Amino acid sequence: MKTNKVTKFLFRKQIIGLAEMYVFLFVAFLVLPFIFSLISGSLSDYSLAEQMRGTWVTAAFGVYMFAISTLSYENFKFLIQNGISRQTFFNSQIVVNGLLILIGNTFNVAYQYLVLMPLVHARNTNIFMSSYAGYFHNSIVAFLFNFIFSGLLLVVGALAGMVIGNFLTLFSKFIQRIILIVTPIVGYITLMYAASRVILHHDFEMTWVANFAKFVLGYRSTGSYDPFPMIVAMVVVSAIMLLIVRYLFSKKQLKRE
Amino acid sequence: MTVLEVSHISKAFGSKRVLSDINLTFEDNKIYGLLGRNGAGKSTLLSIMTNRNFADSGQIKIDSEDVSDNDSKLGLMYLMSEVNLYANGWKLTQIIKDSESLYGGFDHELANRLIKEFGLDVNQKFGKLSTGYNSIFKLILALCLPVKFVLLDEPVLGLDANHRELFYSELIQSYADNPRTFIVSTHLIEEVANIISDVIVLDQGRVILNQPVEDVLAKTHSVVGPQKDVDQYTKGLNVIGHDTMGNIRADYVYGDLDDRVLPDTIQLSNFDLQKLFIFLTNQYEGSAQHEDQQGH
Amino acid sequence: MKFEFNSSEPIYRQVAEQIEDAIASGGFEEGGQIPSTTEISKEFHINPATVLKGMNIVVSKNLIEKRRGLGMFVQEGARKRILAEKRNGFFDEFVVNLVREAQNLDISEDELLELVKRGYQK
Repeated sequence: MKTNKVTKFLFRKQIIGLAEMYVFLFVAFLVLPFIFSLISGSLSDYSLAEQMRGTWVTAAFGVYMFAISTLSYENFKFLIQNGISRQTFFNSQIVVNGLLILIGNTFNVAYQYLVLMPLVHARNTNIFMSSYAGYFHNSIVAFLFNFIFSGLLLVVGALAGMVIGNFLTLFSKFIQRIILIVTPIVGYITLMYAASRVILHHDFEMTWVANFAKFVLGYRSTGSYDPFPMIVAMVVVSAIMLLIVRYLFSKKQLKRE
Repeated sequence: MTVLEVSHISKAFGSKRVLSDINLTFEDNKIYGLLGRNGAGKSTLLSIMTNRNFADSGQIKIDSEDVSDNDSKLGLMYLMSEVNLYANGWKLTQIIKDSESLYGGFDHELANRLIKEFGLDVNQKFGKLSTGYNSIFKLILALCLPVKFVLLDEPVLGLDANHRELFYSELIQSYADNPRTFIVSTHLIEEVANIISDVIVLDQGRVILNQPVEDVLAKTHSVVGPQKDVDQYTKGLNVIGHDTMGNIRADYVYGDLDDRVLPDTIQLSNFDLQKLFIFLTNQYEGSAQHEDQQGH
Repeated sequence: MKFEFNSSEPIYRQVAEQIEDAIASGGFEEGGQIPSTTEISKEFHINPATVLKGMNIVVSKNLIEKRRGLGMFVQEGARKRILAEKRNGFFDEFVVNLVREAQNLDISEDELLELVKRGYQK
């Protein structure tokens, strides 16, 4: 099996893409506002701290993982042309995503602790910090769980991207478009219907959903939430999505275009 | 000895049957011609053989091992086809590098010679290539990657006469220097007629001919003479086509002539692959079944 | 060397004939080297195995020989032997046809002999 070679190939392509994205964001969020301030003569209003405070830095990575996961058809084409099986492609892509998440998560967490907290004096730098960090009394343990928790969030995001993206690539471009248009409409109608049932008919069957959500989120009426149900839930969801993605990879084939 | 085996492959697109129970064996170091009219199923078959697409049933095996999910077997084949599996934005040099790393080798010496002879600029992006150079680039990859089976689907598409000539010469040189199996699918039969050692004819998703070219040609007979004598002589033979000019008739027979007596008025000779192909895949559907029976 | 192929005879036999013709006409000299299998294959787009098969016919007649690592060479006396063989075949291949055609055209034996003489004088 050629997992190592394929992993190298995918990693190189995708880490370059990641770097390009950060450069782009750096320019878009730091350099351009600075130039605009300079031009408009309102330089005194420009605050580096304010620009860096935005959540874009940490959010960007999640978006990138989602995006590359939906774009796997191009790599599939190249790999099948070069005699690489679907199984190897799957294995390698999972390894690469794992590596990228490790890198991205480290960057994000470092950014929180080294930039956001000391420089901008932000406390609630992500979901974990705002809702769960207080659960731990030791700040080192909190730090570790922050790392795990945000990493898992990225894993879930990346896998969700892979499920959606690889599901879509099974279809022709035409069908893909139909799915992309129909799904939101159906989703919206379903949601409206459900809401109307709850509101108009006072169907309180929905309470179990709310209770379940509370349980998963580790909701507690006082103090910080309990992070463990959420961590376990993310692990379980990831495992299920991983199986789905593996199945979707095994069904990949060349489309007639 | 490495053998590529197509075993009971069938495929339908919707209700349209494209391949029906295809069985073929490709042996070491031969040049196969895969011939068929447009839509006969050649490209679909090659695409299934290289695991780009799935068959509805059947298996592709190399040395009795299924090729699906099998990198070491898939890595023994390269399919050059009209479909572009390289992204438009990639540079040719990068594609070569990545292909080399994935296949674990690349004949740079040959590649450099071919690049020079064909006048290809490898510092371009793949999407910028003209149809002809698109084919040329993929042909260079096909000849230079270290595979046992080189599958070429309409290899000279978009190539001008000079480049076609050059390609056939280089194909033979490459084959002579490094014997391996070539499977060439084409509708330009005359150009490859003498290059291929074995001929496979697909018609409407079925194999109607699969034999060494030499054996096939030995079984082609054009019987020319006065209408009456020709009719008499070819009675009971597998006549797959005919021409008439005034009172002179030419019957085209595929199969063995038994030891029937040849009248003085009749001239016998062989005819070529192109003619045979046209007769077999044209109106004479019955002859296909006849050949099947003879094959067994 | 100039090969011309037709479809009515197996290519390997035509390859053998063309090589012999080239030797007979002096195109390939005795003791000289002839093109390799690959060179002939490349030039005329013929499968190397087919060319080799044709060459082997010529080798088996002791008209050319393989010198290890060097290539194929025309044997001494090859031309004479090819001419002798062609002479033997001359009657079957040409005379029989000539006479048959003459009969079709109602040319008598004497007239034909006269024509042959004229051909020599030309």
